[in-house]
This record gives sequence, C-alpha cells and structure tokens, in this order.
Amino acid sequence: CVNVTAPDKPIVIELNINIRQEVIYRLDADAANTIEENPEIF
Amino acid sequence: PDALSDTLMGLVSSLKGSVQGTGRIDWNAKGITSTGRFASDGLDFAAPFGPVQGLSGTVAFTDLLGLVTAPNQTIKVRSINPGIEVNDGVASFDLHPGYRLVVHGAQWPFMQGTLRLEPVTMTVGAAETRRYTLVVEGLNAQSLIQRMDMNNLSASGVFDGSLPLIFDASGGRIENGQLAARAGGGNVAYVGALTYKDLSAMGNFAFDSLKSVDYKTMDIKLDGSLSGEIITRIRFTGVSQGQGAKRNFLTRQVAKLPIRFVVNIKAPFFQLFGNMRSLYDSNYVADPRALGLVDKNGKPIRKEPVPTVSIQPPVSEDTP
Amino acid sequence: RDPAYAAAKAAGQVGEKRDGYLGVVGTQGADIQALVRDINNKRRAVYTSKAASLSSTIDEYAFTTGCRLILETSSGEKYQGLDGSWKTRGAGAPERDAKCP
Repeated sequence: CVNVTAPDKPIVIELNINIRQEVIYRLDADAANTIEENPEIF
Repeated sequence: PDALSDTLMGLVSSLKGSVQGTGRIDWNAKGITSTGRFASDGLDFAAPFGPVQGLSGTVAFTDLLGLVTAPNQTIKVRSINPGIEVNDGVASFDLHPGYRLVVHGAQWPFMQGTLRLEPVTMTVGAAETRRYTLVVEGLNAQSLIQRMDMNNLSASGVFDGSLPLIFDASGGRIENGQLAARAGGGNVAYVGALTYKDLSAMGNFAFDSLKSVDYKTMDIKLDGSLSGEIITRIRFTGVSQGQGAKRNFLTRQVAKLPIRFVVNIKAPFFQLFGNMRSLYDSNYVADPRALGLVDKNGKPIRKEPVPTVSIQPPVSEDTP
Repeated sequence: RDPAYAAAKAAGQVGEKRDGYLGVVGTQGADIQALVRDINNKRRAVYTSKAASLSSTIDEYAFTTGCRLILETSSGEKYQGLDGSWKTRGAGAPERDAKCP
C-alpha cells in the first residue's frame, strides 16, 4: 500500500505570481485627456 | 483660509473649506503675546503624499504668530490617500516653536481592525526623510479580500503586525512590513467557477484537493512603494485540506506531510486592488475602443503587447 | 495657465520629469520651488483619483502622463532625458523612455 513517511524538513511549495500587466498603453488615451482638462497644472 | 494657506502655501495646495476662529494679539511691557482658537468642519487639500479630505476639529494656539499650540490638540480626517485610501482617522498632536510637530498618535479603522500610527516628531516644511510605524491590529482576512474585490476567493483569519513607512522626496514606501495570523490560523478557499478549463485530470485533482486550504500559521512580508509596486511574500504552514476540498486516500497521506506554502506576489499594490478582478471578470476590463486602443471596426490603433499575466499554478506548465 | 508657471516653463527654470512631475532645473529661488511643489501637489491629487478609477497604480498613471508631457514640450522647454539629466527640446522628437506608448 502507499505509505508516505513524513520527512523531517518541510516540503516547500513555492508559487510565484507576477502581475505585470502592460497598463501603460491602456492609460495613454486617458492621460491625454487629463492633460487637456487641466491646462493650469500641465 | 487664504491667510492660513500662506503659511502652508509651500506645503499643500488647492485648500478648500472654511476656518472660523478668533485670534488676539496683545502688546504690553513684557512684549507681544498672541493666542487664538481656530475650527473647521472640513478642509480638503492636496499634499505631496496625496489628497486629504475632510480635515476637521478645533485647534487652540498659545502663540499664534509662532504657530505654537496648546498640548494634545485632536483633529479628524475623513480621507487620506498616500497610495491606499484610509478613512475616518483621528489624530492628536501639538505644535512647538520652530514648527516642530509632535504627533502623539493617529488611528484609522481598517478592515475590521485598526491602523495605529506610533508617536512621531517632525519639522513642518523641512525636506527630511520621515519614518513612521503603522501598527496593524485585528485586520480581518475576509474584509481584505472584499476590499480587493476578489469575490472568487474567501479567506478567514485575523492578522496583526507592523508596517514601517518611509516618506521622502520620492514618496512613501513600506520597508519590511510584517503581518502574522493570530493563533488558530484560518482558511483560504477558491469559491469561483474553475477558470482554467484546460486543466488535465491531474490538474483537476490537485485543484479539487487544494481549493480549500486550512492554515495554522501565515506570515506576510510587504515591501515596496505605496503608489507603485509592493512585493508581498506570504508563507503559510500547518496546511491541511479545508472544508469543501475533496478528500481521498492520497490526500489524507499528503495531509500528513509538513508542507510549507510560499507564495510570492509581485504586484503593484494599488493595481492589486483592481487587477485581480480583471483576471476573471471580462466586463470589468474597460472596452478597448473607449480607451483609444482599437478603432471603430476593431483594428488596433497601435501594437499592444498582450498582457503577460503569468500566474503559474504548478500544474499548468507542460511537463517536459 | 498661471503666467508665473508659463514664464518659468518658457525660461527653462522648470521642466517635465519622466515620472510625470515637474522639476526645478538647476538652482532656482524659493518662489520657483514653491511653484513646483504646488503644481506637483495638484498633479499628485489628479493622478491618485485617475489611478483609482482605472485600477492602475498612481506611479503608472503619472509615468504615462509624463511620456505625453515630454512629447508635447515645445522647442526650448526643458525635459528629463533617459540619463536623468535636463535636456532642451529641439525641433526633433524628444528622447523618450522605451516604455512610453
């Protein structure tokens, strides 16, 4: 039968989650309009 | 509030709201004395670290011209946003000669727990690197998940810890922030529909047995910029299958193994708040036409790199 | 645009930094420094509210705006080059970060 003996050192399961969505393209049009809307600070 | 804003002019901008008060300046043999009491029911302004709204309270000045206050003045702050917005804060402070500000403490309700700022002293207007420590007490995992709009995950557990903050010319960042789950641990479970339809049989098995995980201990390390990217290292141990996870012979065996899960999330903190939803909620992502990415008949206006969201559940990598 | 701000920009006393904020070029008087602080406070407030509505980080929204501001500098105005130093905009396109759209 399957018998699993526990090792002394813990088993490390490492999961890397990189959330690197290329946002800058998505924001570009909105940034252009923010600049137009607020001429006194841009 | 223009008079007030002159002294603050160099510091804060777009001051809105009204200040009522009385000031007295007396000349006598000993010299000039000036006192005053000023109150506001809600000041908004833009500070270097971000917008502040609804600052209210009454401040008594013992030396009005020197901007020195009586001890322990308290004010309320409806909202402050240095990268993540915190609401309904209360702070107590006094101002000393030479614009020396002594903050006795400040406190915000935060995710069913509290954020408490430890006492700190600074010179108003001086360009200096300022170190603060935010103590977190009783942060509830479920309200954190709700705040992050992740309705596909449920989590339980109460966390305490501290977030050392450093504010300098380039903004605010957390250095060596630590949160730890209270005794008794908690559970993390995926309650949404399975989004990775193409999981293999092994994948479905792993998913079913891992979709609800009880943990005994969980420590979270946070480092990074409040207005930019925060690296979060989550380590949880004492893992066993939670309620709702499929159990069978093998998982019972596996459950005996001392498994330590380490999850490193490298994500922009603020984006983490909105981004998770766009991973599985397509109508949440803005319509590309409205954002000027594609024209009316759907032709991309510029070459847009495909978002490289790389969440690598161990199973979905094709085994060599 | 406030005349003092317009004059400072035209005279190259202030310039557009890559991170979307205004910078003081070289050493300038207290009035220019206060002007830059004031403008940046206001920009930060706009970036904060826009980032919230578009679920991006404040830095990313500021950076994207910076890309555009540098693109839109007129000849003679100052902007921050890739090596961080101040450049003067000429007739041609300005030097810009690869991540700019």
